[in-house]
Amino acid sequence: MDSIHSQPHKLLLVEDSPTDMYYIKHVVSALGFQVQTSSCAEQALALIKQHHFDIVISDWCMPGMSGPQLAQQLKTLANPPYIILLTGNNQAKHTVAGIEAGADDFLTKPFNPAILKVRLLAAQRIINQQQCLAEQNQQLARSLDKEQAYLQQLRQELHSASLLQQALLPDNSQNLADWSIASTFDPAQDLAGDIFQCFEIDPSHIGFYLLDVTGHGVAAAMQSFTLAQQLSSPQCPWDGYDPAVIAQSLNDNFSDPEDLGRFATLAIGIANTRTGECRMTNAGHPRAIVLGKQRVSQAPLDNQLPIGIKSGTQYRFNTFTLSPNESLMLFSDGLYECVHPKFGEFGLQRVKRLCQQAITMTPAGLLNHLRHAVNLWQQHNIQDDISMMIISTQTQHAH
Amino acid sequence: MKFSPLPHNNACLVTLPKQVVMSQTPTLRAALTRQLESGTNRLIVDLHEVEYIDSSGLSILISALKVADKTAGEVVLLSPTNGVRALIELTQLHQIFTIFENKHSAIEHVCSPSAVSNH
Repeated sequence: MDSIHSQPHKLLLVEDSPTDMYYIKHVVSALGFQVQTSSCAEQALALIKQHHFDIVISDWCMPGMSGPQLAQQLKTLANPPYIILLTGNNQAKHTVAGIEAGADDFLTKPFNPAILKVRLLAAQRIINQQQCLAEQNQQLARSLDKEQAYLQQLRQELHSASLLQQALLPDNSQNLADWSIASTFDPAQDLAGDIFQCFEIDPSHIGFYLLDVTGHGVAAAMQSFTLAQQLSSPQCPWDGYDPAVIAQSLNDNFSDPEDLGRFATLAIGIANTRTGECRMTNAGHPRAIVLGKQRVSQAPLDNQLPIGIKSGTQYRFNTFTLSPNESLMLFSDGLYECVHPKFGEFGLQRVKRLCQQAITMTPAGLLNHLRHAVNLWQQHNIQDDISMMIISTQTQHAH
Repeated sequence: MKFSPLPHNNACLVTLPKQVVMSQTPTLRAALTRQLESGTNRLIVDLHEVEYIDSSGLSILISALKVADKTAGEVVLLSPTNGVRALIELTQLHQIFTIFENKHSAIEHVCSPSAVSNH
Protein backbone atom coordinates (compact mmCIF):
# COMPACT_ATOMS: atom_id res chain seq x y z
CA MET A 1 0.00 0.00 0.00
CA ASP A 2 1.35 3.43 -0.87
CA SER A 3 -0.29 5.28 1.97
CA ILE A 4 2.36 6.40 4.49
CA HIS A 5 -0.03 7.12 7.27
CA SER A 6 -1.66 4.37 9.28
CA GLN A 7 -5.02 6.12 9.09
CA PRO A 8 -6.12 6.88 5.49
CA HIS A 9 -5.99 10.58 4.69
CA LYS A 10 -9.34 12.20 3.86
CA LEU A 11 -9.50 13.65 0.40
CA LEU A 12 -12.18 15.86 -1.17
CA LEU A 13 -12.45 15.88 -4.94
CA VAL A 14 -14.12 18.96 -6.47
CA GLU A 15 -14.91 18.40 -10.16
CA ASP A 16 -17.86 19.47 -12.33
CA SER A 17 -17.21 17.00 -15.15
CA PRO A 18 -18.73 13.58 -14.24
CA THR A 19 -16.26 11.64 -16.43
CA ASP A 20 -13.20 13.33 -14.94
CA MET A 21 -14.69 12.92 -11.48
CA TYR A 22 -15.17 9.19 -12.05
CA TYR A 23 -11.67 8.73 -13.42
CA ILE A 24 -9.83 10.65 -10.68
CA LYS A 25 -11.91 9.09 -7.93
CA HIS A 26 -10.93 5.70 -9.22
CA VAL A 27 -7.22 6.58 -9.18
CA VAL A 28 -7.12 8.13 -5.72
CA SER A 29 -9.30 5.43 -4.11
CA ALA A 30 -6.84 2.86 -5.39
CA LEU A 31 -4.11 4.79 -3.54
CA GLY A 32 -5.90 4.21 -0.24
CA PHE A 33 -7.45 7.62 0.31
CA GLN A 34 -10.85 8.03 1.84
CA VAL A 35 -12.54 10.03 -0.92
CA GLN A 36 -15.57 12.30 -0.95
CA THR A 37 -16.71 14.21 -3.99
CA SER A 38 -18.43 17.46 -4.75
CA SER A 39 -19.51 18.85 -8.12
CA CYS A 40 -19.07 22.54 -7.28
CA ALA A 41 -16.89 24.75 -5.11
CA GLU A 42 -19.81 26.12 -3.04
CA GLN A 43 -20.86 22.65 -1.95
CA ALA A 44 -17.22 21.74 -1.28
CA LEU A 45 -16.84 24.76 1.00
CA ALA A 46 -19.92 23.77 2.98
CA LEU A 47 -18.58 20.21 3.37
CA ILE A 48 -15.17 21.38 4.50
CA LYS A 49 -16.73 23.58 7.19
CA GLN A 50 -18.34 20.45 8.64
CA HIS A 51 -15.54 17.88 8.26
CA HIS A 52 -11.81 18.16 8.15
CA PHE A 53 -10.09 17.10 4.91
CA ASP A 54 -6.35 16.56 4.57
CA ILE A 55 -6.24 17.11 0.82
CA VAL A 56 -8.50 18.94 -1.66
CA ILE A 57 -8.13 18.27 -5.38
CA SER A 58 -10.10 20.87 -7.29
CA ASP A 59 -10.74 21.59 -10.94
CA TRP A 60 -9.82 25.06 -12.16
CA CYS A 61 -12.89 26.03 -14.19
CA MET A 62 -16.29 25.33 -12.71
CA PRO A 63 -19.66 27.05 -12.94
CA GLY A 64 -19.90 29.49 -10.04
CA MET A 65 -16.84 29.70 -7.77
CA SER A 66 -13.59 28.74 -9.54
CA GLY A 67 -10.80 26.50 -8.21
CA PRO A 68 -8.44 29.39 -7.32
CA GLN A 69 -11.29 31.20 -5.53
CA LEU A 70 -11.99 28.07 -3.53
CA ALA A 71 -8.27 27.79 -2.67
CA GLN A 72 -8.26 31.40 -1.49
CA GLN A 73 -11.19 30.74 0.86
CA LEU A 74 -9.70 27.50 2.17
CA LYS A 75 -6.37 29.09 3.05
CA THR A 76 -8.14 31.41 5.50
CA LEU A 77 -9.15 28.40 7.65
CA ALA A 78 -7.24 27.70 10.86
CA ASN A 79 -6.10 24.29 9.68
CA PRO A 80 -6.28 24.48 5.86
CA PRO A 81 -6.09 21.33 3.71
CA TYR A 82 -3.34 20.65 1.16
CA ILE A 83 -4.69 21.93 -2.16
CA ILE A 84 -3.94 20.57 -5.62
CA LEU A 85 -5.45 22.49 -8.52
CA LEU A 86 -6.16 20.78 -11.85
CA THR A 87 -5.98 22.84 -14.97
CA GLY A 88 -6.43 22.17 -18.64
CA ASN A 89 -4.26 25.15 -19.28
CA ASN A 90 -0.51 24.90 -19.28
CA GLN A 91 0.15 28.62 -19.10
CA ALA A 92 2.61 30.15 -16.68
CA LYS A 93 0.24 32.97 -15.71
CA HIS A 94 -2.29 30.38 -14.53
CA THR A 95 0.31 28.75 -12.36
CA VAL A 96 1.18 32.10 -10.80
CA ALA A 97 -2.48 32.98 -10.17
CA GLY A 98 -3.07 29.55 -8.60
CA ILE A 99 -0.09 29.74 -6.28
CA GLU A 100 -1.03 33.26 -5.26
CA ALA A 101 -4.49 32.00 -4.41
CA GLY A 102 -2.92 29.50 -2.03
CA ALA A 103 -2.74 26.23 -3.96
CA ASP A 104 0.06 23.88 -2.88
CA ASP A 105 0.47 22.02 -6.15
CA PHE A 106 -0.69 21.85 -9.80
CA LEU A 107 -1.51 19.22 -12.30
CA THR A 108 -2.24 19.80 -15.98
CA LYS A 109 -5.04 17.81 -17.54
CA PRO A 110 -4.88 15.33 -19.10
CA PHE A 111 -2.44 13.69 -16.69
CA ASN A 112 -0.74 10.38 -16.29
CA PRO A 113 -2.11 8.56 -13.16
CA ALA A 114 1.50 7.85 -12.09
CA ILE A 115 2.12 11.61 -11.89
CA LEU A 116 -0.96 12.15 -9.73
CA LYS A 117 0.22 9.30 -7.55
CA VAL A 118 3.68 10.78 -6.84
CA ARG A 119 2.19 14.23 -6.26
CA LEU A 120 -0.17 12.73 -3.69
CA LEU A 121 2.69 10.88 -2.03
CA ALA A 122 4.53 14.19 -1.71
CA ALA A 123 1.37 15.74 -0.25
CA GLN A 124 1.14 12.93 2.30
CA ARG A 125 4.74 13.46 3.36
CA ILE A 126 4.08 17.13 3.98
CA ILE A 127 0.85 16.44 5.86
CA ASN A 128 2.56 13.86 8.05
CA GLN A 129 5.40 16.24 8.81
CA GLN A 130 2.94 18.98 9.67
CA GLN A 131 1.07 16.65 12.00
CA CYS A 132 4.33 15.61 13.59
CA LEU A 133 5.31 19.25 14.09
CA ALA A 134 1.90 20.09 15.51
CA GLU A 135 2.19 17.23 18.02
CA GLN A 136 5.70 18.31 19.03
CA ASN A 137 4.46 21.86 19.39
CA GLN A 138 1.67 20.73 21.66
CA GLN A 139 4.09 18.72 23.75
CA LEU A 140 6.41 21.72 24.01
CA ALA A 141 3.53 23.98 24.95
CA ARG A 142 2.43 21.48 27.60
CA SER A 143 5.89 21.20 29.15
CA LEU A 144 6.31 24.97 28.95
CA ASP A 145 3.04 25.36 30.85
CA LYS A 146 4.30 22.87 33.42
CA GLU A 147 7.64 24.65 33.79
CA GLN A 148 5.95 27.99 34.08
CA ALA A 149 3.62 26.70 36.79
CA TYR A 150 6.65 25.26 38.60
CA LEU A 151 8.56 28.52 38.25
CA GLN A 152 5.56 30.43 39.52
CA GLN A 153 5.36 28.11 42.52
CA LEU A 154 9.09 28.53 43.20
CA ARG A 155 8.69 32.30 43.00
CA GLN A 156 5.89 32.19 45.52
CA GLU A 157 7.91 29.94 47.80
CA LEU A 158 10.92 32.24 47.52
CA HIS A 159 8.68 35.15 48.33
CA SER A 160 7.28 33.51 51.45
CA ALA A 161 10.79 32.42 52.44
CA SER A 162 11.96 36.02 52.11
CA LEU A 163 9.08 37.21 54.30
CA LEU A 164 10.05 34.56 56.82
CA GLN A 165 13.64 35.75 56.68
CA GLN A 166 12.62 39.35 57.25
CA ALA A 167 10.44 38.28 60.17
CA LEU A 168 13.60 36.93 61.82
CA LEU A 169 15.20 40.36 61.78
CA PRO A 170 14.94 42.66 64.79
CA ASP A 171 11.98 44.93 65.34
CA ASN A 172 13.30 48.48 65.15
CA SER A 173 10.79 49.83 67.62
CA GLN A 174 11.76 47.53 70.46
CA ASN A 175 13.59 48.97 73.45
CA LEU A 176 16.47 46.88 74.66
CA ALA A 177 17.37 47.35 78.29
CA ASP A 178 16.99 51.11 77.66
CA TRP A 179 19.02 51.02 74.47
CA SER A 180 17.53 51.01 70.99
CA ILE A 181 18.31 49.84 67.50
CA ALA A 182 17.71 50.87 63.93
CA SER A 183 18.35 48.57 60.99
CA THR A 184 17.93 48.11 57.25
CA PHE A 185 18.12 44.97 55.17
CA ASP A 186 18.38 44.86 51.37
CA PRO A 187 18.81 41.36 49.93
CA ALA A 188 20.45 41.10 46.48
CA GLN A 189 17.99 38.34 45.54
CA ASP A 190 14.81 37.24 47.30
CA LEU A 191 16.87 35.49 49.92
CA ALA A 192 20.00 36.79 51.55
CA GLY A 193 23.10 35.26 53.08
CA ASP A 194 23.00 38.06 55.65
CA ILE A 195 21.19 37.82 58.95
CA PHE A 196 21.35 39.92 62.10
CA GLN A 197 19.65 40.30 65.42
CA CYS A 198 19.76 42.29 68.65
CA PHE A 199 17.88 41.27 71.79
CA GLU A 200 17.77 41.61 75.52
CA ILE A 201 19.66 38.94 77.50
CA ASP A 202 18.66 40.35 80.89
CA PRO A 203 17.67 43.83 82.11
CA SER A 204 21.27 45.06 81.92
CA HIS A 205 22.67 43.16 78.92
CA ILE A 206 21.91 42.93 75.25
CA GLY A 207 23.30 40.48 72.73
CA PHE A 208 23.75 41.27 69.04
CA TYR A 209 25.23 39.78 65.93
CA LEU A 210 25.43 40.34 62.18
CA LEU A 211 26.60 37.52 59.96
CA ASP A 212 27.18 37.19 56.25
CA VAL A 213 27.39 33.79 54.56
CA THR A 214 29.41 33.58 51.31
CA GLY A 215 27.27 34.36 48.30
CA HIS A 216 23.55 35.00 48.32
CA GLY A 217 20.45 33.14 47.22
CA VAL A 218 18.85 29.98 48.57
CA ALA A 219 21.90 27.98 49.69
CA ALA A 220 23.44 30.97 51.47
CA ALA A 221 20.08 31.74 53.12
CA MET A 222 19.72 28.16 54.38
CA GLN A 223 23.20 28.37 55.86
CA SER A 224 22.46 31.70 57.55
CA PHE A 225 19.14 30.34 58.89
CA THR A 226 21.01 27.42 60.44
CA LEU A 227 23.51 29.74 62.09
CA ALA A 228 20.76 32.09 63.30
CA GLN A 229 18.89 29.15 64.75
CA GLN A 230 21.93 28.12 66.77
CA LEU A 231 22.32 31.70 67.95
CA SER A 232 18.69 31.96 69.05
CA SER A 233 18.56 28.56 70.71
CA PRO A 234 18.07 28.54 74.50
CA GLN A 235 21.26 26.46 74.69
CA CYS A 236 23.30 29.29 73.20
CA PRO A 237 25.31 30.60 76.17
CA TRP A 238 24.57 34.32 75.84
CA ASP A 239 24.28 34.59 79.61
CA GLY A 240 27.97 33.73 79.92
CA TYR A 241 28.65 37.20 78.40
CA ASP A 242 31.47 35.71 76.30
CA PRO A 243 30.96 36.18 72.53
CA ALA A 244 34.16 34.25 71.73
CA VAL A 245 32.69 31.07 73.21
CA ILE A 246 29.61 31.46 71.02
CA ALA A 247 31.72 32.09 67.90
CA GLN A 248 33.76 29.02 68.71
CA SER A 249 30.71 26.78 69.00
CA LEU A 250 29.32 28.12 65.70
CA ASN A 251 32.65 27.37 64.07
CA ASP A 252 32.79 23.86 65.51
CA ASN A 253 29.24 23.10 64.32
CA PHE A 254 29.62 24.65 60.87
CA SER A 255 28.97 22.25 58.04
CA ASP A 256 29.84 22.61 54.39
CA PRO A 257 28.62 19.26 53.01
CA GLU A 258 29.58 19.94 49.41
CA ASP A 259 33.06 21.22 50.33
CA LEU A 260 32.33 24.46 48.51
CA GLY A 261 34.61 26.38 50.83
CA ARG A 262 31.54 28.22 52.09
CA PHE A 263 32.10 30.33 55.19
CA ALA A 264 30.46 33.10 57.18
CA THR A 265 31.88 36.32 58.52
CA LEU A 266 30.47 37.28 61.88
CA ALA A 267 30.42 40.26 64.21
CA ILE A 268 29.01 39.22 67.56
CA GLY A 269 28.86 41.06 70.84
CA ILE A 270 27.34 41.55 74.23
CA ALA A 271 26.84 45.00 75.74
CA ASN A 272 26.24 45.99 79.32
CA THR A 273 23.63 48.71 78.99
CA ARG A 274 24.35 50.10 82.47
CA THR A 275 28.09 50.62 81.99
CA GLY A 276 28.31 50.77 78.19
CA GLU A 277 30.93 48.01 78.17
CA CYS A 278 30.90 45.97 74.95
CA ARG A 279 32.57 42.65 74.34
CA MET A 280 32.89 41.80 70.69
CA THR A 281 34.35 39.03 68.59
CA ASN A 282 35.05 39.81 64.97
CA ALA A 283 35.35 36.76 62.72
CA GLY A 284 36.57 38.03 59.34
CA HIS A 285 33.86 40.67 59.35
CA PRO A 286 34.25 44.37 58.47
CA ARG A 287 35.00 46.20 61.72
CA ALA A 288 32.03 47.89 63.37
CA ILE A 289 31.96 51.70 63.42
CA VAL A 290 31.54 53.72 66.60
CA LEU A 291 29.43 56.81 65.96
CA GLY A 292 30.45 59.37 68.56
CA LYS A 293 28.96 62.74 69.26
CA GLN A 294 31.64 64.42 67.20
CA ARG A 295 33.65 61.78 65.49
CA VAL A 296 33.41 58.46 63.79
CA SER A 297 35.93 55.68 64.41
CA GLN A 298 36.30 51.98 63.89
CA ALA A 299 35.75 49.85 66.97
CA PRO A 300 39.03 48.51 68.42
CA LEU A 301 38.63 44.92 67.30
CA ASP A 302 41.13 42.24 66.36
CA ASN A 303 40.05 40.45 63.26
CA GLN A 304 39.97 36.66 63.35
CA LEU A 305 39.23 33.84 60.92
CA PRO A 306 35.68 33.66 59.56
CA ILE A 307 33.36 30.90 60.78
CA GLY A 308 33.72 27.63 58.90
CA ILE A 309 37.28 27.92 57.61
CA LYS A 310 39.30 26.01 60.15
CA SER A 311 37.84 23.75 62.79
CA GLY A 312 39.23 24.18 66.26
CA THR A 313 39.95 27.90 65.80
CA GLN A 314 40.20 29.63 69.19
CA TYR A 315 38.33 32.93 69.19
CA ARG A 316 38.92 35.90 71.49
CA PHE A 317 36.90 38.99 72.28
CA ASN A 318 37.88 42.65 72.63
CA THR A 319 36.40 44.99 75.20
CA PHE A 320 35.57 48.66 74.70
CA THR A 321 33.14 51.07 76.22
CA LEU A 322 30.45 53.10 74.53
CA SER A 323 29.89 56.47 76.20
CA PRO A 324 26.38 57.80 76.57
CA ASN A 325 25.28 59.25 73.21
CA GLU A 326 27.55 56.92 71.27
CA SER A 327 26.26 54.28 68.92
CA LEU A 328 27.71 51.19 67.32
CA MET A 329 27.09 50.46 63.64
CA LEU A 330 27.38 46.91 62.31
CA PHE A 331 27.16 46.24 58.58
CA SER A 332 27.87 43.64 55.93
CA ASP A 333 30.56 44.10 53.26
CA GLY A 334 27.83 44.64 50.62
CA LEU A 335 27.64 48.19 51.96
CA TYR A 336 31.06 49.27 50.74
CA GLU A 337 32.10 46.59 48.22
CA CYS A 338 29.50 47.58 45.64
CA VAL A 339 31.09 48.71 42.41
CA HIS A 340 30.27 51.62 40.14
CA PRO A 341 31.19 50.80 36.50
CA LYS A 342 33.36 53.94 36.22
CA PHE A 343 34.26 55.01 39.74
CA GLY A 344 34.97 51.57 41.20
CA GLU A 345 34.28 50.43 44.71
CA PHE A 346 32.15 52.49 47.10
CA GLY A 347 34.78 51.86 49.76
CA LEU A 348 34.92 51.92 53.52
CA GLN A 349 36.43 55.43 53.57
CA ARG A 350 33.36 56.78 51.82
CA VAL A 351 31.10 55.04 54.35
CA LYS A 352 33.05 56.61 57.21
CA ARG A 353 33.01 60.03 55.55
CA LEU A 354 29.24 59.87 55.03
CA CYS A 355 28.76 58.88 58.68
CA GLN A 356 30.99 61.74 59.78
CA GLN A 357 29.06 64.26 57.67
CA ALA A 358 25.72 63.01 58.96
CA ILE A 359 26.77 62.66 62.57
CA THR A 360 23.88 64.73 63.89
CA MET A 361 21.26 62.58 62.20
CA THR A 362 19.15 60.05 64.04
CA PRO A 363 20.27 56.41 63.54
CA ALA A 364 17.31 55.71 61.24
CA GLY A 365 18.07 58.89 59.28
CA LEU A 366 21.72 57.95 58.90
CA LEU A 367 20.82 54.46 57.66
CA ASN A 368 18.50 55.94 55.03
CA HIS A 369 21.19 58.39 54.01
CA LEU A 370 23.75 55.58 53.54
CA ARG A 371 21.27 53.37 51.77
CA HIS A 372 20.40 56.13 49.35
CA ALA A 373 24.06 56.87 48.61
CA VAL A 374 24.88 53.20 48.00
CA ASN A 375 21.82 52.74 45.83
CA LEU A 376 22.87 55.61 43.61
CA TRP A 377 26.44 54.26 43.50
CA GLN A 378 25.37 50.83 42.28
CA GLN A 379 22.72 52.42 40.08
CA HIS A 380 19.83 50.63 41.80
CA ASN A 381 21.24 47.26 40.80
CA ILE A 382 21.94 45.56 44.14
CA GLN A 383 25.11 43.49 43.84
CA ASP A 384 25.29 41.88 47.26
CA ASP A 385 23.09 41.73 50.35
CA ILE A 386 23.36 44.90 52.41
CA SER A 387 22.56 44.80 56.10
CA MET A 388 23.09 47.61 58.57
CA MET A 389 22.26 47.84 62.24
CA ILE A 390 22.90 50.75 64.60
CA ILE A 391 22.78 50.03 68.32
CA SER A 392 22.27 53.25 70.31
CA THR A 393 22.94 53.81 73.95
CA GLN A 394 19.78 55.88 74.07
CA THR A 395 16.16 55.01 73.70
CA GLN A 396 14.62 56.17 70.46
CA HIS A 397 12.29 58.78 71.95
CA ALA A 398 15.38 60.62 73.20
CA HIS A 399 15.96 61.82 69.62
CA MET B 1 41.83 30.51 34.23
CA LYS B 2 45.18 29.17 32.94
CA PHE B 3 46.92 26.03 34.16
CA SER B 4 50.69 25.77 33.68
CA PRO B 5 52.19 22.49 34.91
CA LEU B 6 55.44 22.76 36.88
CA PRO B 7 58.33 20.30 36.59
CA HIS B 8 58.17 18.56 39.97
CA ASN B 9 55.90 17.13 42.64
CA ASN B 10 52.65 17.21 40.64
CA ALA B 11 52.74 20.95 40.97
CA CYS B 12 50.88 23.46 38.87
CA LEU B 13 50.58 27.22 38.55
CA VAL B 14 47.01 28.47 38.16
CA THR B 15 46.38 32.01 36.99
CA LEU B 16 43.01 33.40 38.00
CA PRO B 17 41.20 35.86 35.70
CA LYS B 18 40.58 39.60 36.26
CA GLN B 19 37.29 39.09 38.03
CA VAL B 20 36.50 36.25 40.39
CA VAL B 21 32.90 36.80 41.38
CA MET B 22 29.83 34.82 42.30
CA SER B 23 28.57 34.30 38.76
CA GLN B 24 31.79 32.47 37.81
CA THR B 25 32.55 30.61 41.01
CA PRO B 26 30.88 27.30 40.06
CA THR B 27 32.94 27.02 36.83
CA LEU B 28 36.21 28.10 38.39
CA ARG B 29 35.69 25.86 41.40
CA ALA B 30 34.92 22.84 39.22
CA ALA B 31 38.07 23.42 37.13
CA LEU B 32 40.27 23.74 40.21
CA THR B 33 38.74 20.71 41.92
CA ARG B 34 39.17 18.61 38.77
CA GLN B 35 42.82 19.59 38.63
CA LEU B 36 43.35 18.69 42.27
CA GLU B 37 41.54 15.39 41.97
CA SER B 38 43.54 14.39 38.91
CA GLY B 39 46.64 14.22 41.11
CA THR B 40 47.98 17.77 40.91
CA ASN B 41 47.79 18.51 44.60
CA ARG B 42 50.37 21.28 44.87
CA LEU B 43 49.02 24.51 43.50
CA ILE B 44 50.29 28.04 43.17
CA VAL B 45 47.29 30.29 42.69
CA ASP B 46 48.56 33.34 40.83
CA LEU B 47 46.44 36.36 41.76
CA HIS B 48 48.40 39.10 39.99
CA GLU B 49 45.73 39.58 37.32
CA VAL B 50 42.80 39.58 39.73
CA GLU B 51 41.34 43.07 40.05
CA TYR B 52 38.23 42.09 41.91
CA ILE B 53 37.30 39.10 44.02
CA ASP B 54 34.23 38.75 46.23
CA SER B 55 33.66 36.47 49.18
CA SER B 56 32.29 33.67 47.02
CA GLY B 57 35.47 34.01 44.95
CA LEU B 58 37.47 33.52 48.13
CA SER B 59 35.45 30.38 48.82
CA ILE B 60 37.09 28.83 45.73
CA LEU B 61 40.50 29.23 47.34
CA ILE B 62 39.22 27.72 50.57
CA SER B 63 37.61 24.73 48.88
CA ALA B 64 40.84 24.15 46.93
CA LEU B 65 42.78 24.24 50.20
CA LYS B 66 40.38 21.76 51.81
CA VAL B 67 40.65 19.35 48.88
CA ALA B 68 44.45 19.66 48.84
CA ASP B 69 44.63 19.07 52.60
CA LYS B 70 42.93 15.70 52.18
CA THR B 71 45.72 14.48 49.89
CA ALA B 72 48.53 16.13 51.88
CA GLY B 73 48.88 18.71 49.13
CA GLU B 74 49.32 22.43 49.40
CA VAL B 75 47.82 25.60 47.99
CA VAL B 76 49.83 28.81 48.10
CA LEU B 77 48.92 32.28 46.82
CA LEU B 78 51.07 34.45 44.59
CA SER B 79 51.15 38.24 44.13
CA PRO B 80 47.71 39.43 45.21
CA THR B 81 46.91 42.97 44.04
CA ASN B 82 46.23 45.60 46.70
CA GLY B 83 42.45 45.23 46.65
CA VAL B 84 42.63 41.46 46.85
CA ARG B 85 45.23 41.64 49.61
CA ALA B 86 42.92 43.93 51.61
CA LEU B 87 40.09 41.40 51.38
CA ILE B 88 42.43 38.53 52.29
CA GLU B 89 43.54 40.47 55.34
CA LEU B 90 39.98 41.41 56.30
CA THR B 91 38.96 37.77 56.18
CA GLN B 92 42.24 36.75 57.83
CA LEU B 93 42.95 34.19 55.13
CA HIS B 94 46.67 34.96 55.40
CA GLN B 95 46.47 32.85 58.55
CA ILE B 96 45.79 29.73 56.52
CA PHE B 97 47.51 30.47 53.20
CA THR B 98 51.18 31.08 52.54
CA ILE B 99 51.43 34.14 50.31
CA PHE B 100 54.39 34.71 47.98
CA GLU B 101 55.31 37.95 46.25
CA ASN B 102 57.91 36.34 44.03
CA LYS B 103 57.09 33.72 41.45
CA HIS B 104 60.46 31.96 41.69
CA SER B 105 60.22 31.56 45.45
CA ALA B 106 56.71 30.16 45.08
CA ILE B 107 57.82 27.67 42.43
CA GLU B 108 60.87 26.70 44.47
CA HIS B 109 58.62 26.19 47.48
CA VAL B 110 56.10 23.85 45.85
CA CYS B 111 58.70 22.02 43.76
CA SER B 112 61.36 21.45 46.40
CA PRO B 113 61.61 17.79 47.52
CA SER B 114 61.49 18.78 51.19
CA ALA B 115 58.07 20.30 50.62
CA VAL B 116 56.59 16.91 49.92
CA SER B 117 55.25 15.42 53.10
CA ASN B 118 55.73 11.79 54.07
CA HIS B 119 52.08 10.75 53.78
